[in-house]
Amino acid sequence: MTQIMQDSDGPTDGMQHIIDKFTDSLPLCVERLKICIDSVVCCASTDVGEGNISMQELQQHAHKLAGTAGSVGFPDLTRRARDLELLIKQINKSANSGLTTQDVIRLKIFTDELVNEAIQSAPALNRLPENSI
Amino acid sequence: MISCIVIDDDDVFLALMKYYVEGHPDLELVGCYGDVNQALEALSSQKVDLVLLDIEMPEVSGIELVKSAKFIPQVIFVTAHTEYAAEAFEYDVTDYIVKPISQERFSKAIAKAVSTSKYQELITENNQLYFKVDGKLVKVSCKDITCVEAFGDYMKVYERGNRHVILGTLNSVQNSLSDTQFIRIHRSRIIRLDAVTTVKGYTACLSDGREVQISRNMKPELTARLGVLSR
Repeated sequence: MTQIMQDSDGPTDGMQHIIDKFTDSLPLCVERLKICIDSVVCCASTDVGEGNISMQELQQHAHKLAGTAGSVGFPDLTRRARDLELLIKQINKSANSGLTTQDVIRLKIFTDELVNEAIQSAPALNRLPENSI
Repeated sequence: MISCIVIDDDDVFLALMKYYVEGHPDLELVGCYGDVNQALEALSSQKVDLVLLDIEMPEVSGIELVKSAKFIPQVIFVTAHTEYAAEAFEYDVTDYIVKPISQERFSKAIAKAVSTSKYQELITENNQLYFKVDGKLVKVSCKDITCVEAFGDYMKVYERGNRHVILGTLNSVQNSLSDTQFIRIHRSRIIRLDAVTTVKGYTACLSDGREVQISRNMKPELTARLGVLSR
């Protein structure tokens, strides 16, 4: 849900333009998050060592989203992105020899929650069936 | 008016900053940049009083930019990282805003920049500096200053055995002191060149008996400039 400083008639044109720009950027962002988490899951299940790179990318996307979303009126999106970012930091701190199954499951859940929140926030994504993204 | 540029690699955030800056009565937007190199060109070719700077960017980080730049105007970091705050304040920055940001938090940071800037306008006249100390204006002649040291939001100005503690950043004073007479020898110290009596290793001894540390980076420039003076 959008929560941003508004006068009685809603956001100004300038702010609305920025909000639109942000929501327009969400489909690409969702796509990137999905690619990253799929890659993390795939690498973990096949023991390929590139899972860490995908997780790092996932963290970067979450970090960027956390900073921008709340600034343009999407605090719930920031909260989900921050949760994912913190989870990855936590996993990085504790992981000695790769990801555990439990880590992968938590990453998948947190990413899915973030993706769902982004889908709810983006009008373009709302108009499309989720599978088509 | 404070002329300002914004540097951030996130398009949406850059647009938001542009909107905030353009809507602020004390700010004049000179440019918005998605990368540091373009911004460096702007910094060298036009008057910029304030930089709103992201930290994590693809080519050069905001911290690296502030570290490496010989002269940089007032800086407000705007970043989603909390972990760089302590380091950032070592570089004499005006404020550090953590994303997500609100317009209120933005305005508060700009108020700080404005007060520093007004202070800067106040202090220079005919080679005299006017400092506000305990609500009074104190006049100090530049030729009597031996050293200016930063600590937090304050500075210590040493002149003829007196020490004044004043609010303001080292950058603002550096702008007001003559480049030929003064040199920044450390991120938190400026000294007057002809007050240097001896240099021992990374310590400069000043005519008032004080010994001040020289940073490794600035030692070659200090040595060179002292050499020029002695010829």
